[in-house]
Amino acid sequence: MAASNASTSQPLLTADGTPLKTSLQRSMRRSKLRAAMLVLPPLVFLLTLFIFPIGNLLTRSTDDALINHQLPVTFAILDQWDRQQLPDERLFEAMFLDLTSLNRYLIKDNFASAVNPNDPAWKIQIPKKGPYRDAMIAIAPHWKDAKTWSPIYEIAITAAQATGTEREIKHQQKRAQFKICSLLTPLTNAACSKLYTALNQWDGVSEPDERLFKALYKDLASANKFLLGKSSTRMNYEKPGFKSLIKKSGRKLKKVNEPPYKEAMIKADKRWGDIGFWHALLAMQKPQTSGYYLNAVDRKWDENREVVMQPEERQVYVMLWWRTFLVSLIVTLGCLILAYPVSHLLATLPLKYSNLLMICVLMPFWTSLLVRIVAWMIMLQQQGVVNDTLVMLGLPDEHRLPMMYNFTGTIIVMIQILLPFMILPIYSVMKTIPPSYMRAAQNLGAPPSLAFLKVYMPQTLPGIGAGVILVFIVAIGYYITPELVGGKDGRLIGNMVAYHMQKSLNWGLAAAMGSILLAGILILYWIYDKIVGIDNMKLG
Amino acid sequence: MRKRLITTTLASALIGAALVTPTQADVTIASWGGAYTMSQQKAYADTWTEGQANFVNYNGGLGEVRTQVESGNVTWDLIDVLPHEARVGCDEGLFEELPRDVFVPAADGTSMDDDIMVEVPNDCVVPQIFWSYVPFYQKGAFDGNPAGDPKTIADFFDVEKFPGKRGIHTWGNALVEMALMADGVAPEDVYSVLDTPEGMDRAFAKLDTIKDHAVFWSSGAKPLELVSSGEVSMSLAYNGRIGAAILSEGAPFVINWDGQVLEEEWLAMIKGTPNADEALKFLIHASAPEQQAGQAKWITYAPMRASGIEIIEAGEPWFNTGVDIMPLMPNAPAALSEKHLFADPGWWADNGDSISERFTAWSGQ
Repeated sequence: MAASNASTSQPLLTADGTPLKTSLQRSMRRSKLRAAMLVLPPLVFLLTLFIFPIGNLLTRSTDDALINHQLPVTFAILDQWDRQQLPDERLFEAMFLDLTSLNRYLIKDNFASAVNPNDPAWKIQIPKKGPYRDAMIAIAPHWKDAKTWSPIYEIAITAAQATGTEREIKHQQKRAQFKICSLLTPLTNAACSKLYTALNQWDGVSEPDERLFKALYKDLASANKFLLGKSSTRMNYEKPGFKSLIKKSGRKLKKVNEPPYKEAMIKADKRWGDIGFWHALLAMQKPQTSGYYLNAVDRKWDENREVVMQPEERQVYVMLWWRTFLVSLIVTLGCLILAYPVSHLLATLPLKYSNLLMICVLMPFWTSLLVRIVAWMIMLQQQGVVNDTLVMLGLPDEHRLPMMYNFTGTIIVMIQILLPFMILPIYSVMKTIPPSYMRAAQNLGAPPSLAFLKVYMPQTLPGIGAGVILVFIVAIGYYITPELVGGKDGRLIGNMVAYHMQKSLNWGLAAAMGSILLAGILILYWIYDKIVGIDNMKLG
Repeated sequence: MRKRLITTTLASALIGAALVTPTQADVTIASWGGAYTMSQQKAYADTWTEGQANFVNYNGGLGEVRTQVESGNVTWDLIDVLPHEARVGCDEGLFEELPRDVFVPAADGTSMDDDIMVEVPNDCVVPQIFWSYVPFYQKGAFDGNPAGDPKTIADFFDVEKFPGKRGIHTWGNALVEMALMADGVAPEDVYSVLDTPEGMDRAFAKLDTIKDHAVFWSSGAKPLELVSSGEVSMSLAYNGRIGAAILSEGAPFVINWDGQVLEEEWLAMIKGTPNADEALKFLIHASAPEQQAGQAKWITYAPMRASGIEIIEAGEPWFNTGVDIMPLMPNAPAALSEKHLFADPGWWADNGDSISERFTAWSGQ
């Protein structure tokens, strides 16, 4: 009230004569800016190391652009095929051109729905031994224009003027060669070394001559090899055998110059006559695919574009998803059951003892993960400490319990490793509950069990919630423990993600599984919020 | 106070800069660690005079290499790869193609590529070693067994006659081949049989016979532990690990060469490395017959070059402790006189993923 009175009568001034409002705003802005600057590093950190990789993960899991660069004409006319019997000469010709020609790098409309399969440019053959210029200009006239070359010319010229040590200069030049290729092709790992040299001998304005076109041809041919290598890997995901089919027939098809291509290709490798390989193409036809997600749940597209189950012997992921979920659930429950009494003890014992106990809880937490896992191996294996003790106590030697390298082993070790994540939040909440509450409840006539259930336990719920969420989320993506102690039936989805990242290089499938995992966690988090309420959670 | 702050900042910046700037002419090689890298260190790096070679450990696969090459931030120069990766890396353009005429020929003038005991898959790789998956047991483990000691790969799959658990690895490589060989398929027919759905079922049916007796391992040291503790009576393992235990620790292990599956190991140069010249010099040095043979002084993996084997044979006792090493070499004439198979990386490139899925499904049921 007083403030509004003041502002209506006369603006308040500070010592230096500026209105108080402006002065306050200015200092507010300054402190806001300072605060923003303070949070900037973590924000940048979060964006670069969290948001960006997740975005990358999501795009990778649906990205099928590479194969669309490889087979533009084939995919453009694939829909005209009846899918009942082996394709006719037309599709074979398209496949032949897509596998052998370099035209796709020169023609402008070379991707997905932009492709015009009837453009005669697709069929123009560049003579392998030259001259290259005329044929390449016939395919794509814009290459005649010096302007078309100027972006790569800039790169080459800039790199050639690089300064520094000899080593740095060489590195710059090498990177420029990669950069030129990445502009001309969908690849980032091809080096256009010939083009780099030729561009540096050119003035940048005169009409591009045969020498430039020759360099372009040679570099594209070498890059094309890598694109074909990557494509064959992609095609092999859909149908095992594609990889060697492309590799073997590729060598033979180099010698084929004229139609009919159908016969020539089947002669080069009889698997081109197997309709199964052609059916497999249908699943890759769009630049965005849901195929990786389907694969991650044991399904795939069939030739009628319907979702069907994978063949029975390859169905493995659904089982692994369930197992991962089950393991996480058991581990979370196990941790809760073990952690609750321990936390209570920690919270209620006199400081002298509780400190000691706390160290016992934290000690393994500070110990290397691998050390703890190996310790469990020694304890639990068939010839291990636990089994030896049991045998000493009268267990028949041939009935030693299998507790390691299986499901049981994974559960036991994971519970031990994740236990502190449950104990600490529950303990920190219990610590704040005054013991007088329980006494009061009992004083008012409640038996101890009722007092515990009605008075004590509800107050520990925020800690339980935090612990459960923490343990479950860590457990569901667990990788190294199952890898080491999981053996035959204790390996989880995380192990498959690692396999596809490192060994099979099927990053699309790994990304799809990662995204499903992420989505699963978000859904569980949402359910938790609905049932328990997230504001109820206390981490400490 | 302020001055001190500035000096510390400057100092840490300088140290940071010193750490990220690589010293010149250092070649970084990604390899598998343990006794294997130690043997490479002794045979290749310690004998190399033109520069400094440093080893880093990696866990296999080309995931890391692909990231380095595609981001243009290459920190490894060379990598020690399995047969499958040797092919994929070259096909996908992750490795540099190397000139072939710069490498050291054998003493009789045979070029390096012709000196290698298998076909060279591409121009990206230079030879490293042969290694193999092979069954072994502890001496005395089958004492008193009516059928005696196991001798063949069929015995490995026969838990009736040769009781006890079996140690096998958690992936399908070599296991499907061994299962078929144990089932009576001749080694040269193994892959054509596996190419048919019935053949694949047959391999897994054979694996079924030991499934309930199987203990799975995933790290190379594990099978030695499993066998010496008695947890399993027989296990598959990498031959070099068994050899090292026998030679260095005097472990009483017996290797059955029958049914072994041999695999290749290659060195390759990562594409776009700033140290290409030094790395090539190192490759020339490391692939020479003397260095190839020299590695076997420290580990029982065998040189890929025939001339390397000849040097070892002539120089026995070859191992650094002064004992014969040929009996432990997977491609020594004695071992190769038994039933054996050179794994076919081309076949595995086609079928590796589907076998991996099927194997995971099989072992998890």
